[in-house]
Amino acid sequence: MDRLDEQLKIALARDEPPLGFADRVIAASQPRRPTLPYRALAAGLVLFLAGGAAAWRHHQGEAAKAQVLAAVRITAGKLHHIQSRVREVTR
Amino acid sequence: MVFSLAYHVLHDRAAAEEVAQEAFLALHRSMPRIASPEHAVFWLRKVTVQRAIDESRRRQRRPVVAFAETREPGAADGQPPDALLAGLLRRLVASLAEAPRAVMVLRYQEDLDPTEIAELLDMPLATVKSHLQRSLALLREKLERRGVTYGQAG
Repeated sequence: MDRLDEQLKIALARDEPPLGFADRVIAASQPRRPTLPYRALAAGLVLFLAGGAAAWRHHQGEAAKAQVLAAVRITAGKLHHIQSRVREVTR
Repeated sequence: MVFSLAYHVLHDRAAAEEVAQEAFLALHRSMPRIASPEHAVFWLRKVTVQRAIDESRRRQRRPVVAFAETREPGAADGQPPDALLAGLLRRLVASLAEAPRAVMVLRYQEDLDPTEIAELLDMPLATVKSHLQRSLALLREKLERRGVTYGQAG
């Protein structure tokens, strides 16, 4: 080995990587968070379920309201019948 | 080793970091196929040099060595043996074409012999020897023009 060989070994000696290089490699090797399409799908699913629940609650409310109105109508009919009977008896 | 290989081929610290990171991530993905620590070292050298050469060719330019890039070897102990000469040699090696540059870096950074370099680069042994001889002759010639002379190896 001559002097040029020795000087080349010195000139091309291993160079240290920049500070934090290992941390950046480790971070890059970690599994990534879900990308936008998955997040959009997840958000859509949440909105769909929330909307469905609201619609179901609305439907339940409408049914209850119809039951109350039917009960009021029946009660009113019975009261009318009783009033008619009372008038006949008091004549 | 990995960063340094990429750096000596590319002479650009940011690009070298990118190539080195890609090489480690590729190793991470290929881990099931790695048989031993020696295989991992061989694999890393091969992938790093190949990617650095590809990156260098992609840029379609010879590396430009900025003043800040010419960090002097041996600076850790504060006594570089010949800082100016080392910087000059780095610049001269950087001016070589990609293939002979990679051969020189593997020979003098990694201390590989021509047979190992030929295996690593999938290159005929005669081509590796030819690259080494021509590169050394070219370096000697350029150094002589600057008034630096070295004896021919026996």
